Amino acid sequence: MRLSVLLVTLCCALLLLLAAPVQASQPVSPRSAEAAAEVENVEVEDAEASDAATAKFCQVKRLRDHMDLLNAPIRSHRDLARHLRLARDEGSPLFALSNEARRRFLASLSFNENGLTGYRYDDLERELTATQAYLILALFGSQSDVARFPKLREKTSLDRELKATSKLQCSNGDWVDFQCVARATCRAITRYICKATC
Amino acid sequence: MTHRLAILFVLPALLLAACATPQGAPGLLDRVEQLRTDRPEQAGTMAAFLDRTMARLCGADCNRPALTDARLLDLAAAAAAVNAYHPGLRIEAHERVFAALLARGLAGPLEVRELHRTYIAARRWEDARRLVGRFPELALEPIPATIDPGPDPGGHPAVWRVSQVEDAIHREPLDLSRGRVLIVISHPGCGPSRRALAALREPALRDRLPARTYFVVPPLGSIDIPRLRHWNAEFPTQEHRFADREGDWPFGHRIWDLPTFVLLEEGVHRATLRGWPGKEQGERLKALLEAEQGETGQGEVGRGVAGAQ
Repeated sequence: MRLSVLLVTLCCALLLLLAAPVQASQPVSPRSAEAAAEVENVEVEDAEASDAATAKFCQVKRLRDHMDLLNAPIRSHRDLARHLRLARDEGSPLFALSNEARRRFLASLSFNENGLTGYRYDDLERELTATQAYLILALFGSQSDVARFPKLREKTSLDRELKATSKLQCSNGDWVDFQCVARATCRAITRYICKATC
Repeated sequence: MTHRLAILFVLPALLLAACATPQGAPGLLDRVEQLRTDRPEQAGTMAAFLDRTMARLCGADCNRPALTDARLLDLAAAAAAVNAYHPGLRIEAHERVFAALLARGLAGPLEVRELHRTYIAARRWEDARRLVGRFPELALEPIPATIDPGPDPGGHPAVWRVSQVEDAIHREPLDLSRGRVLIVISHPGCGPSRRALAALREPALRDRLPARTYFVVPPLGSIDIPRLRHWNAEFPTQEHRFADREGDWPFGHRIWDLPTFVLLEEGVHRATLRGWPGKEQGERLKALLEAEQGETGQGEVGRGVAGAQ
């Protein structure tokens, strides 16, 4: 079931990628208005792409990342607590982590009104396949981060495909080996990622 | 009698073995993380910990049979972390552990990349370049063809400028002892930095920046030349240069948060602002620049941003 959801998501992403020209985002809710503002703030990075096709890819990917963030099931500690309560009965991708690793990962999560702002990633790399990490990060709308973690395990062709996306990285303002220590403040701390939303 | 012997010898041995495994005790990398204090003595504490650990585990040679593969990998990660937090602090320790990993065939891409980052952060360009050549299959971050160390910084902090026309970087000293200087610690790849940089391009702040405003990238394990080159071409008034050595910067140990603003007057540290929570931080910076200007009587409003000293 989860695998099919993941495949559908990937197909949608691919369709988005192929759809050109890309329309400017039209806010449909206050949340998406925030996302649009964030997109404006980081638009300069597209120009780093070496060619037009990559620039287009990055533009679409960034938009998709923002939509992922807006639609994330967990956008706050309150959402997280609710998810963990329900997880006992309904299950959760978080259970792919060992107890200790899950404790560390959950303790490392930070949020603000935009959703997830940072987390510790080393346990994901140590214990999970790319698909398992994708499913966990999708809870927070950060599934595209799997491309940043080269040590994630590969057991299936899906794992390999997810990791292969790392070859086409687009800068979205996330900063690896920094932690979001305060509002819009990233500090050099290994094993953390400071999200652009910090 | 047999049972007593078992209790006396076997159980303590089992307990010791359990504690000695990485699973039974905090890993060495975890210990390094626990030493983060956000205080000036952090570097000394980390160095002392690594020295003690190396002496205990390695002695003269880290490739000792008593040192398990897992422990050796953990030691490599700890050495990498110490050198990431304080570039250049214990390069030799990292090199020794890496040599042992190589001897055992344990040096994977991650371990090679971490040593590469240690060299880059410490500005050991030739060592980093050698590593790139030795492991071509890993596509490590390339080192510019030309490294121009420039004149002796003479005790001043130095930065590296990225050439726009050739594959080169040039070191130059920053004389912070004269006049009013604003150091903006930032990185074009960091989201909060980019929000701050966008705000600094708005007239309300842009026109109040001191003529000597420098955009400095912290001493990281990656120099990210293509990104800096692109940014500098796009925004020449926000030309980013990367810091040479961490220890050369005189105003505090915790200036490398992204973004950070450090205001100096006649070499004296006046104020530090960290982060870019939003417009209110812009107002704080604006007030700071105006107040300092009033105190010093140096009319710098409207002089814009200097691209070079």
